[in-house]
Amino acid sequence: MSIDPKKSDVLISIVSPIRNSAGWIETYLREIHTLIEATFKDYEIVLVDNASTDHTVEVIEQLQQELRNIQLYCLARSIPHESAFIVGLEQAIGDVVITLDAAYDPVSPIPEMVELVYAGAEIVYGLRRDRVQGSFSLYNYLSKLFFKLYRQVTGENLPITVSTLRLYTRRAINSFLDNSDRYRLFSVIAAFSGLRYKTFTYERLNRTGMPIKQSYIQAIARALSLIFLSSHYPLRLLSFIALLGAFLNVIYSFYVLFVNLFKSKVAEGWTTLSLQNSVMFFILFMILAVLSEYVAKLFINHQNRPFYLVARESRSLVLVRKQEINVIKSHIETQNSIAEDSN
Amino acid sequence: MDVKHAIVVIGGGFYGCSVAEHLARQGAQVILIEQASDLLTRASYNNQARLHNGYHYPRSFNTAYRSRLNFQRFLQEFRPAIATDFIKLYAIARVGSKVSPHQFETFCQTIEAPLVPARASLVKLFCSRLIAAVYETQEYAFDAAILRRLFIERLAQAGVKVRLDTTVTTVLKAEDAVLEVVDHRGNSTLADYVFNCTYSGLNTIQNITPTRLTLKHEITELALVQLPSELEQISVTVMDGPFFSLMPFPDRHLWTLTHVRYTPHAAWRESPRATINPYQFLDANPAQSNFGYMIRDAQRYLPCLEAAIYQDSLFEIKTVLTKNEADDGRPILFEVDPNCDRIISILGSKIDNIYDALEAINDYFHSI
Repeated sequence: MSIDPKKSDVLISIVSPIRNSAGWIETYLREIHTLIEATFKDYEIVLVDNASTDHTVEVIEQLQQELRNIQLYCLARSIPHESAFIVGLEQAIGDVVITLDAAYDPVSPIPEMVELVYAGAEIVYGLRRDRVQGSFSLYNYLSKLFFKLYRQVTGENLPITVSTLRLYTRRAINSFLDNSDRYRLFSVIAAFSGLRYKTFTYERLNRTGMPIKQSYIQAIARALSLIFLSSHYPLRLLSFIALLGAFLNVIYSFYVLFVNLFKSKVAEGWTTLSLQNSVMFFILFMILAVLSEYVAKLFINHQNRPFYLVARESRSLVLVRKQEINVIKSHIETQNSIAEDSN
Repeated sequence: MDVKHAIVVIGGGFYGCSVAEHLARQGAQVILIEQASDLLTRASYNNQARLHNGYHYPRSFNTAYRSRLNFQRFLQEFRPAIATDFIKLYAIARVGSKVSPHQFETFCQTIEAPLVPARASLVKLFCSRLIAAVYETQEYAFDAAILRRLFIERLAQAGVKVRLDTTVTTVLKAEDAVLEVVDHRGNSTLADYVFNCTYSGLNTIQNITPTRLTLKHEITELALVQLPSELEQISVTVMDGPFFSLMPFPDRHLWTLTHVRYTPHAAWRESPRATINPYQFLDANPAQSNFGYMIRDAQRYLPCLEAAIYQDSLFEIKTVLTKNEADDGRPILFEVDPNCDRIISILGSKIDNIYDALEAINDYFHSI
């Protein structure tokens, strides 16, 4: 889908998952609303409340009385932050949908991103400047390394250092909405479509006022999950190793025969036997480990239970706005004066 | 009614016309006053035109059951105004629906509403990821323009005098328990009884006590569209939550698209003090169409809607009693003015609930 810039009826959705953001969500909503209202005719701001335990929902519902087109979906239980992006993408109705982490991503690049769609991109990835050219940090280095490896392993065309600020056209979204693993694959799923993408770099900010926590354990868990869900490579590798092990076994058998035939003095064989055992068991256990990973994945999918549940939905219903009250008042006054005249 | 009462009915919508005719046929001298220049021009016309047969209320058995009874009666009485030449599909959404396919089937069995799984060629029009089940049902639409013609004839036959282009401003209590209905030109009409059937304008007539219940007014939009050929003569309602509905609009040979999320544009509860006249409010605040939002969401469920062609939109005020928002039930309001028991306010709801209103009127005259 290429979008004609002159056609004004392009609908933009801005999707942000949030959790316990009562303190700063108003700042964000006012900021984005001002920008979007000034730039686009049709838009919706989609918020996925990831089961907040503070009064985030009340703050937003209050703002819905004032700001147009804020669409709020409250999840009944909390799910991983990245999955909540996919929930938002599923609920969004826009021709062009932008994902934005309300806590960290700036709103100012949005018009530029939409321009890139006009120029023919189906997906626009924001790249974090601190990861592209920032000073060295181990976390960022490992993250880069992982995505390089991921590209190698899966062969997917995904830019390294990709962030949460992205844009998808309707076509790009439709390409992955039927994928049963979509809730766990937010970071990479759009790349599966092979659609054309463009990138831009931007500076992250922090609206929360709290230090950003970087958990290596969680990052490693996410990395493994991504690899296992989006690639058959580990299984293929293990199959190869298993074959290799089998082949080595055959060679070893020949070696044993050879020793038996040509050596007059055969040793007790304790060393070779135990070596053979340990190697074989190592291979067997590796195979078991990988198989169990895939079996677990099949199992999760097979459960077939809804991944999320929208417990409540609410929408901006802007009541009598200030200027409208003026209109009404003057209108009623003229009505009264007419009535008086006729009396 | 034995005595020849003089009765003024205010409001020439479907309810006002029905009430006027009903009273006149029982011997009353009835004058019907309407502020527009024709009958049935507002909510009776700017309407989904759905003749309910119960399916819509899986959460309010009472409403559903009454709806089924009234459906048959309405069908017989207004047969020329009913369009039946389309297939009515009810689809149950997979995510976000308050009713499951199984519940819906059980519900329809209980109220004995015909329901069969839709044929495969129709099911495949829907996105199976979002729609759990599709059923063919029996539900019709009415043509408001034909209904208007029928009423003009029927009112004339019954001897009702109709005054168009007349806005009632106040109802005064004259001596001898006679009421004086004053219009915007200052003309007054004497009456023994006044029926206030002004729907959204229920609380706008001076000296008629505002209803004890809180009214909620909503500016609603019905988008009129031309459907793609796959959907020719097919009407769709997706249940039961923030979804959409496609109904025939026979008078314009078009279809209405309404969406639970995007059809309401603004809403307010009426407060006893600051009454905004909803009709004036609507005129003063031309709304911008939400069609773009409606069609984009509906398209997710019914992909072929991409080819639907937008014509224009009907904007209208919808007024409901606030106590029934939760279960979607729509009882009518029938209220005798606490300061004058000869003034009765009726707030209509679904068009086929008229018979409940007429029964209430009979009871009222029996009891005095």
